[in-house]
Amino acid sequence: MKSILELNDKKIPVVRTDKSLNKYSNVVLFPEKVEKAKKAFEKAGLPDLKKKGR
Amino acid sequence: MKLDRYELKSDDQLTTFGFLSEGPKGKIEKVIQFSLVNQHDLYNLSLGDKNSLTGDIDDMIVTDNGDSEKVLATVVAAIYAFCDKFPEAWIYATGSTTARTRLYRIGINKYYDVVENDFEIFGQTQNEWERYQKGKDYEAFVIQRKKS
Repeated sequence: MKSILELNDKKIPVVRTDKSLNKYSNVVLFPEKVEKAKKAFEKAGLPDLKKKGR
Repeated sequence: MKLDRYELKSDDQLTTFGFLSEGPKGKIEKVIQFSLVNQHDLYNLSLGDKNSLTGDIDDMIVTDNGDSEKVLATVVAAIYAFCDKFPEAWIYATGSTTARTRLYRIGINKYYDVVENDFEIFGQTQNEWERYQKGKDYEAFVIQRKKS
């Protein structure tokens, strides 16, 4: 059985549930950022996955 | 490449994460939130500090707790955890200030070799997205988990 430390070395971490964080689940904590994101997607759309890097 | 990071906790939905930053300024509760933007599968990523007196979450505060690399590695871990549950998600991120956006870019550059195999990474310049290029300035970033 792997220890927590070994599991935490993986890219996908072990995440424990903390019920105290549920109070934020349906609350937008950073509305200005969400608005900025909304505008960015409205203007630029989604990135083109076919676009090659340089 | 092993990244030292903090232990993550999350809400039941795996959209809000918390961890404890430890440094010269003491223990500071940090909150990472993936908020749904108005369209399906588009999320905004934000990081803030919890004010121990008011309980408010503030993304403008400068913590300066001497652990920015460990904090960035923890945010990267949260992205992996979030995308494990929401593999189609596009995640938008930008700083609260130009200086903080630059810090994000420095962070992406630092972990680029680790994450480029797992994520599509784009930078925003003048209302366009382009494939992320190390060393170039961007207004914002958007990433998506690569399809295996």
